[in-house]
Amino acid sequence: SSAKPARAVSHPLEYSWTFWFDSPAAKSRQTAWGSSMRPIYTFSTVEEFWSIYNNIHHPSKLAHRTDFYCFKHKIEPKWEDPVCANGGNWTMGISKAKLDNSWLYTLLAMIGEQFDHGEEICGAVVNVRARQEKIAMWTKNATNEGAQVSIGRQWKRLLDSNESIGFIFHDDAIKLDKGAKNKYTA
Amino acid sequence: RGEDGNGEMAKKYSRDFLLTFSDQCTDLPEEFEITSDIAEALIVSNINVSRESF
Repeated sequence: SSAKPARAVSHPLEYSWTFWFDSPAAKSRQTAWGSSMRPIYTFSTVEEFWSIYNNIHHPSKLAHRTDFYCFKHKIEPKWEDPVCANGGNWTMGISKAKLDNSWLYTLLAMIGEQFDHGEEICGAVVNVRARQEKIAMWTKNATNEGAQVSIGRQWKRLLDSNESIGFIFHDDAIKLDKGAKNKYTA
Repeated sequence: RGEDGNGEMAKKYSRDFLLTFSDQCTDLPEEFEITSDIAEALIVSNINVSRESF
């Protein structure tokens, strides 16, 4: 008879993180932005992360108009969340060829606490669109310029990106929508 | 640098270290709920899902 396998050691993450999903089908049934996204699973260990990640479609296989989020547990990926309200986000346009790796490397850097100002990070979202996929990193305190620029620069290095990226305050996005301008660049 | 609010070292894992686990954890967690809205849109595994009618 075979021996019972020893209980595997699990590696706890610094934070718990939640995956959220917003599908085109769900969006088309709702009128209010943000009302169709929903949390899928909250993970707290390295092992749990891979258990999910290995069983879900990577961004290149998701339907257009899908948004997929990974945010710290209890922070909702919405401007009006109290933690997000004073924040902003860095956005990077990603080529289709680099999309899956860019998303994975962003996730690993966040959950593995590889950012010097990780405490500022709320989470990240990948927007799957026909014209151009984007990944955005949301942060808490937009006016903390030093922390935001540090995050933007480190993110570019992690993704081996040479393109200029911009940071928009959520306040401006709410007031000006597409007219919001980058307050910082990296 | 690396102390969190409790004065303990923050749990940092490099990309390379995290990637070493990617082959080991291939099953969804037991308590993961595959609802009909994500069964096809998001989930890869070949699992028979009973679809609830709306």
